[in-house]
Amino acid sequence: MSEQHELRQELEDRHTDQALQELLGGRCPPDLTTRILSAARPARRWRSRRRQVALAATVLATVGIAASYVIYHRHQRASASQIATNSTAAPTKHDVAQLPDKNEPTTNADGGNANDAATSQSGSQTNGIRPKLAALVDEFNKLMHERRFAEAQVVAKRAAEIAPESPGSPETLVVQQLKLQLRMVSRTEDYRKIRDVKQEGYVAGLNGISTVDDQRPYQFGDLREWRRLTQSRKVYPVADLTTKLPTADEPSILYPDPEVWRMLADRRKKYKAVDLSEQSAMEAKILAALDERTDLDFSEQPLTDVVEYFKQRHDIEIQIDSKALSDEGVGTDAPVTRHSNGITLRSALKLLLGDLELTYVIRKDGMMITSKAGAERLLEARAYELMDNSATKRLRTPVWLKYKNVPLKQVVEDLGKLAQLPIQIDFSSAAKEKVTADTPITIELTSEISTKSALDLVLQPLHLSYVVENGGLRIRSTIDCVVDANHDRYSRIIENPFLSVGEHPLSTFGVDVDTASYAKVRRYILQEGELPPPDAVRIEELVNYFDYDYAPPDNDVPFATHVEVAACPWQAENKLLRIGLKGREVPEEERPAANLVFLLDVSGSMEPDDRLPRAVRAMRLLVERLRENDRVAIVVYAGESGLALPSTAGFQKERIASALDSLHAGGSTNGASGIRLAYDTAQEHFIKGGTNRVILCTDGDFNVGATSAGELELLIEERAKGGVFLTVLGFGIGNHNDELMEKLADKGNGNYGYIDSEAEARKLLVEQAGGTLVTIAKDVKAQLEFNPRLVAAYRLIGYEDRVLPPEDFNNDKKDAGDIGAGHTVTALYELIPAGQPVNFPEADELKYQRPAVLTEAAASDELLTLKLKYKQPDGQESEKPLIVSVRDSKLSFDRATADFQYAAAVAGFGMLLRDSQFRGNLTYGAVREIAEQTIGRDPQGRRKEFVQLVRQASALDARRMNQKSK
Amino acid sequence: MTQPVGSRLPLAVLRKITLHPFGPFGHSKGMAIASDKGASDLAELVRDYQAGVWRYLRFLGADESLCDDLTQETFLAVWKKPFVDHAPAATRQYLRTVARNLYLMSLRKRGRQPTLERIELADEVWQELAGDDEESMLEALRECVEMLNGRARQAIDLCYRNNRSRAGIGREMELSDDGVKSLLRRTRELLRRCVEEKRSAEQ
Repeated sequence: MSEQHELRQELEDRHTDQALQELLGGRCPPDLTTRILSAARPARRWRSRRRQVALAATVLATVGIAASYVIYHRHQRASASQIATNSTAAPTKHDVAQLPDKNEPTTNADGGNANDAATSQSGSQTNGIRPKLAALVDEFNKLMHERRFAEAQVVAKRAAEIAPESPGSPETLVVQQLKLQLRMVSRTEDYRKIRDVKQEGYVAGLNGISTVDDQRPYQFGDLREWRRLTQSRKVYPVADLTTKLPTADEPSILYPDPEVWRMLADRRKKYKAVDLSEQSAMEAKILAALDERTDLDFSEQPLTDVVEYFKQRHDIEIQIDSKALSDEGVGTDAPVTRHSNGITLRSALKLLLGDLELTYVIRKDGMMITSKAGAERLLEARAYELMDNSATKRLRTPVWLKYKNVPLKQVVEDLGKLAQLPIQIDFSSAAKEKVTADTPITIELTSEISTKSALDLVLQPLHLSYVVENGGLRIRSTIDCVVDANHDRYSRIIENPFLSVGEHPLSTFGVDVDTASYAKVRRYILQEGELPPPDAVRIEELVNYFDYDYAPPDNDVPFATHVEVAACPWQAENKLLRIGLKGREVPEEERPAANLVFLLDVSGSMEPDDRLPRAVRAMRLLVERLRENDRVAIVVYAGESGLALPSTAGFQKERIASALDSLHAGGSTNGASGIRLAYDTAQEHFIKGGTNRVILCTDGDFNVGATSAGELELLIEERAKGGVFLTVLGFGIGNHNDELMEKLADKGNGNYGYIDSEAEARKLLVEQAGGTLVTIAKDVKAQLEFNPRLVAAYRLIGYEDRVLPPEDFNNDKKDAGDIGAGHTVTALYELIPAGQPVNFPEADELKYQRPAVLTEAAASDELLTLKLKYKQPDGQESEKPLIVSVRDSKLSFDRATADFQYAAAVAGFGMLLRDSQFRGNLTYGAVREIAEQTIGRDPQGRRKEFVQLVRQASALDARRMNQKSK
Repeated sequence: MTQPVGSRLPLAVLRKITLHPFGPFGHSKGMAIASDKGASDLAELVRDYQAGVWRYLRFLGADESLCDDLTQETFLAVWKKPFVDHAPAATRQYLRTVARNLYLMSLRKRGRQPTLERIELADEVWQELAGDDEESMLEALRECVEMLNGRARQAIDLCYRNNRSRAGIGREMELSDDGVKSLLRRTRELLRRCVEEKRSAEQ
């Protein structure tokens, strides 16, 4: 029935197509009146001529030369017999009639031949030639009849030799007919032969199949045998047409053993394209919903209603691509009529959309109903693992090594030279395996092996490995190489453990105002639809992302301190301590002049829209905030670095914007070179008492020049001493080197932000521009001394890479974090009150010492004393420390301030994402509940967004757990 | 633009043309060669109906040269049989039947096995869409095309007026080949519906 329907549709379409061709293309029916009338008038003759020609052709194809005489006769009005007999006697009717007698089909074909021939005797007679010609014709006939074509060809040639060479003469025409006939019959014969050969080959091939051993069904012969067979086919009897002929496989194809076959299949799997992308929660939901049962009961209902029905019934997101539908000529209100029950959603969609020539595409954020052409446009980028071909080839270069206690660096250099392959060692990574450039290598090979094998032999015992990068190799620790495979690089975070107050009475850390981690987590969850890797979650950056309602300082101190203690929400017996710092606000008009250098990575990896283009837009936002006494320079770097804009006064906004707009991405990344130039430029225009800052915008994918993390850190640390601060802004995801960027910001007296959206750019560069442009205190360190009488143990939540040894608190040479104008910093501690059991092993009692005795102060109700140290932005020595004593207010968690609760919820979220061992009984639901209740004033909607983030993470976590359980 | 033959040759509303009962050859019974009267009748018949027969054959799937030949054969076949042109609709139907049989024969001669169901369905579709008044159908189609706009109109013009290939249209409209095919098909469907509506409104 449906076939009939389709056929009808096709015919209807064809009808319209034909009408349009006629109407618009001018392909109208021709006027055949004259033709038909003329055909009708001499109809008899026309029919007769047609029939004669048809019959003659039939005869020609079957009986041979006689037909050529007939055609000759028809056209020339002279018979072959006349020609043959003219030399001896005038042709008679009887003579003419003899020819049809000898060639039955011709005679029967047209009874009027004899009369016609008789009345049209030709006058052309050539004595002596015609009898010979007639004899040759007879001989030719005979040979053709006997299928002796080669001999017939010789006779035809002889006939051609004796016939006079006058075009149009009867003799010439006879000879031509002989040749034509010969060619036609020979060709038919050739075709027959070919057909026979094909048939034989086919049958023989079929016979050959039965000889294959079923026990060893797939065995191919070796390559030489295949070549031999191919060659043998080329010399098949009928030259030009033989290559396409099927032949029996002789010998039969030999297939390999099943084991070999399996091994080959396994090997292919290794090279199978690997889809590195993961499904989003919505994708997974849609895919599951497609297999759910659904009902169709629609009569002339608009498509939008049908879609709405599916959305609600299966709780999935479905969008209609109205533009694509409009291009197809289908409205979103196209009527749908279908009745069917108990079919899957997949089938239902296929039925419904198929009728409208539409289809659907599943995307990360939902299903899109679109046209087939539209679906082609909605292509999705997927990542596949590829090998770097040139490097891979060079790794095959044979090498021979003999070393005894030769430094690793030397061995690697030698291997690189032999294979003509640039090999770089990431010593900072190798150091994790306690490997240095001088690590001795002893290796002695007895024969040549490939460079790859040699590298494996050298590196594996050292727990090193290599990755192929930009046509060369980079040697790193094996663990780092595995992390590299995940593309985004994060330094490993080992959570701060609980420390016993008895053994570690002091806790010291440097403050951190970075917020990059929150933006990255948000991008992973909301945009990529996946949970972030645990090492991407730095809890302190999550907490510090939000503004808290801390009062600013009311004295000369650059920041105010706010401390609060309440019950811990995830471990009710424990306490949670919050330390909040609020930097002094600096009004815009009081802001000192700024000397900024935008250092933009314009390497090839920055090309996507979320990288360089977004960085340019972000910088333009900052440029808008500049005053006339500020200065901006733009340094770019790719393979080489350069000054895209010399230091320019802030009032020349158009010039700066134009320089930003002219930037394009391309090439490799020599970050170190750009950083040097940027610092040089900043130093050149240094504003004393002002803000001197390099703003680095990159994805952190440094891959040329002095780019080992260690070298770059040293470079930045050195340059930062000159009083130039650093802001690192990260862009993009996929090959983002978070680890390096965070370290650079840390070493460069700077802060690190990650810009995952225009809104985030606005937050960092417009709303918090003061913090970015004005540093109010640098090297801010906090030290807490706990009262052992009241606190058994403590744990600093987050700040893992900011923890300092107690002695560094008083060491001004030790770097720590900086606070900008208006910045808020929050740190959380989880405390185990004295008397509560602690679940960590304690050291044995000391043999030569006794534990410290309690002082009088311990008898007070102070939980701890907080000391804060800082330097003025241009100072080299610390100011007098701020000291705050903290008492336990014995508040339950729900009586604590809203900001306290909210910060605890954010920290808890981080612990859940990190799958922290200290998460206690915390769940995503609990985090969401706390956060929802304490949103408070939220003009930017960031706290609400956080709640959404928790909800989404909860769904992703549930999916992950499901997958695990499966 | 070339005008359709039909538009230059208005159909006779109702006419009685008597052709020579046995055609020029005399079917049998030794009839004489066609008279002048018979020839003029044939000329009139051809002028009035040839476009329809040609279009019909084209619709069945014959190529243009075969359409020419079969149209000629159709009229010759009709001419040599006793035939009275009572009403244009009946004549059209009769001519189409003859043309269809000749087309089927030509297919068989070329070794093809025609699907009768398909041919019958094609006949049915032709009857529904073109009916007995192809000219009004074409006129309605012309009006419907004028009403088209946007990408659909662009695609139709490129395809039929400019005779552009599907790939050419695709390049111009930034669509894939399949996209062009689909768009054209959808637009033709729209036009067909428009024509149907117009014609039913007229009726």
